[in-house]
Amino acid sequence: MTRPRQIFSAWNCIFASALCVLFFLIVYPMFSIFLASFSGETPGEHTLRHYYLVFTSPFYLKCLGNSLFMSFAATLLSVLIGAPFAFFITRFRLPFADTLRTLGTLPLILPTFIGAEAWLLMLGRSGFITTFLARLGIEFQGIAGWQGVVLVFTLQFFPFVFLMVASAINSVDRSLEESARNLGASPWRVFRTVTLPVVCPSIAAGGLIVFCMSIENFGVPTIIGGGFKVLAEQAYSEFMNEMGGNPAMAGALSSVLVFITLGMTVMQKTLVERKSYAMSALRPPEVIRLSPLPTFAAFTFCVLILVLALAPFVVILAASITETNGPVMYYGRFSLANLKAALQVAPRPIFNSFFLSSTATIIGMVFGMLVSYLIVRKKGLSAYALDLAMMLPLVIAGSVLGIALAATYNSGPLPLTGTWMILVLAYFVRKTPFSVKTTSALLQQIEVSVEEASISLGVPPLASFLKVVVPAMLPGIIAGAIIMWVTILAELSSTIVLYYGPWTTMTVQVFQYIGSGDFGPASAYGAILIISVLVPLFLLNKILGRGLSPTL
Amino acid sequence: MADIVLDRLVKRFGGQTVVDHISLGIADGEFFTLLGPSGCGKTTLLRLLAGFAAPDGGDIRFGTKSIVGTPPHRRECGMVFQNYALFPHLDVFENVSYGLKARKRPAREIKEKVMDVLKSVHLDGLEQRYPRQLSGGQQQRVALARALVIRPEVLLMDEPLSNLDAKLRIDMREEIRRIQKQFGITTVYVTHDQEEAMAVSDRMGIISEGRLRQAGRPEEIYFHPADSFTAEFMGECTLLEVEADADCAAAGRIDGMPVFLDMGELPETPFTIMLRPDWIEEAGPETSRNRFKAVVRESVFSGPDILYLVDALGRSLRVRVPSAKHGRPREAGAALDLCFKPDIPVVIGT
Repeated sequence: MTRPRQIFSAWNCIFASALCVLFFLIVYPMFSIFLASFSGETPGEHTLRHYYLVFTSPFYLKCLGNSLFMSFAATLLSVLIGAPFAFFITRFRLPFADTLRTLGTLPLILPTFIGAEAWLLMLGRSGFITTFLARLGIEFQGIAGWQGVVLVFTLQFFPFVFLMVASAINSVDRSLEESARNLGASPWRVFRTVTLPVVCPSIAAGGLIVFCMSIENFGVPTIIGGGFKVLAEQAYSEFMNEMGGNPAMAGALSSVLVFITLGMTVMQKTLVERKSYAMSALRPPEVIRLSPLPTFAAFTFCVLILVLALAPFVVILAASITETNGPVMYYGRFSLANLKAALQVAPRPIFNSFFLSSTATIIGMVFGMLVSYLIVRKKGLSAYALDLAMMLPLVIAGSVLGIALAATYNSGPLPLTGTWMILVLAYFVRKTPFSVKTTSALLQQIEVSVEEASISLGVPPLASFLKVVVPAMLPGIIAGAIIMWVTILAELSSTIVLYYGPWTTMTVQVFQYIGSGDFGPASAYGAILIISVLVPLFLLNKILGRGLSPTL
Repeated sequence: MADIVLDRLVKRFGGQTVVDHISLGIADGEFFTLLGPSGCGKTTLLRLLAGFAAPDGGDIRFGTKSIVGTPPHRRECGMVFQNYALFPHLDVFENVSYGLKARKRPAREIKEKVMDVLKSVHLDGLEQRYPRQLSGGQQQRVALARALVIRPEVLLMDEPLSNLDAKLRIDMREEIRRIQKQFGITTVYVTHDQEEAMAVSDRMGIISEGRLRQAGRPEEIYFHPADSFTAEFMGECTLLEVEADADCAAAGRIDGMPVFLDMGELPETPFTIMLRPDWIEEAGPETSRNRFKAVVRESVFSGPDILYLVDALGRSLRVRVPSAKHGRPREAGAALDLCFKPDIPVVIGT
């Protein structure tokens, strides 16, 4: 009886350290900026003034309204595009359906601010489409403003809805629709009364992701918003103000932002998740062959969406090999000058990005593996708490977490702010949920008895975990690691708060070049970023024989 | 290999006692089955033996040594799981050799032993296959081979046949029985299927609500169940109340009919006797004792025999008669002359 206790205590240690990590990297920093948001001008004074300001001053109210407006608009449009896209591809027999499906996930890996840059290059005030239209005599003011922000979000985030809905459709057994037909319902009635209600929770779940991703995003409004101020951006500029920031105001704005996402998530969990109908489908629903005209219409819809969503890839890659002079692009004139400059003259940001994301990924991989095991296998209240805490970073905006970490570890026993380590920690805590998700999803399918079989054959528990569970989890671990690595490479919002001089990353470099109007160098780093993200995903696809989709 | 002793074993989950003071001895080389309805505690009992759960009281001994403090990986229990629990990332050879590798045996010996055991479960030639490429029955054999190859002191099997279809289940249980005898390993087998239990076991124990109701050879338990639960769990049966009777020749009366029982000492009336449907037969012309009239209500023809639901002795009664002897099933409303032998009913304690 003593031995099993000891075995459990090994896991207890891991459990305790996991909680410690989450406490010091999430709970404590978030709590401190929450506290700071009440601090007044003299030490020890407590005030609600900053919250009062957020909800009364016309400027902050405008920011709040803008944030909510653009997020809801992007969510609505993403659902309107993503859900039909999923239906068409999974339920109708379309030409090149597999290719469409794969291409449909690609927008997710394009860093959003690079997407914004690409749309500026196309439809900005001096974008090539805008100038082309002007030459035709069509007056177009350019897309900068809220329209641009919503456009970029929609085209980049609709795959979340698409993936959620597609997997929901495929997890409904064919018998469900067949029994509805059998009971006398017309196809349209079956769709309305059976298929749609069953995938509704997934539409809501996908929509929630889009909402959270939009409201926390800070690069896109800054680049393409043209003065369209939002909360995430304002929190950052209050904190980083060169005239001496206002941490209390930044704290108040951050807290409001967190409460919005948290509230939306809780609402989704309580209202929608209860109605989850996922079943272990033996036979996915039938793929319907439509007559030529509807097939053509559905196909055109999908292709059109993909052309729009993937245009930024082409534009950035083309821009990176175009001759430039500041903001002026000489399209048609080929030049490797910008790429050369990025790779030879200033390769440090490239090295930084790779180093930081690899380090954070390795830590996150091991941590995610252990935490997944605890969450799935050691059920009970503590595992549930760990599960919840682990998903907390998903509802906290990157810039907010950056601010929280920077403010917390600015001084005290562990002055980490201004070192590369704080970047690694921020990346690690922000992206590990991906690793936990992919790994625990796979672990759930491995029955406990497999582990027990190994133990009963004479292999001690921890060794059994390594020999039997880890290999079985490996695809999930690899997928999680690649997603972590790729999203960290593309991470701007927390980086911009936490980086300092020598540790400039590719994302920061691109962002700054766009800010100063140097689209050439920006596109060069952007192209390098895109390629470094595409290659591992391509490998993942080759190794595992599947794309991003099963991991979300 | 060893005999197993369970000594007043107790296991509680929360406030619920799942294993309630079970004491039991299983002989060396014996095939012992734990039989009971789902949720009766039989699987928990098996997991206590394997070491995946720790008892809250009592002792388990393999041979003379108590194994309660021994962690599961040192217990030398081969276990076959209900879902087989094959390692999905390893092929058949790697699955079966897993335990030997953990014991750091030389490669040649491993190869030899694995091949031997695969041959005895008729899987030779499939070493390179992965579990997903095997049928249910083959997976079952791999699980069995994997547990046997380490020559465990005790073989534990948790409903190993429940995932197979009916025909295969019968083939496999004969196979399991054969292999167990060939290896001579003390085996504890868990099932809720009484027919399967009777077919494979040397002895069996009936478990209900965490308690051991009765242990014994299959035929002992079938013909002489200790209580009404066991009687009913071991197969269809009818319980009949025997009332006092002035006529001293008979043991008592059932619904007015004098009952003659030929089984030594009888308890005082009223008492309960148990009859299985096939213990009741058609009365011949010379039969005089325990003879009664019945009216057919329903009949179910199942090939070798016919099950009648009849009204008789003031109640409804199930009767099974061999079809070869009985002929065509009678229509509802037809009359039957039935009887049972005086030495066949069982007196059931309350």
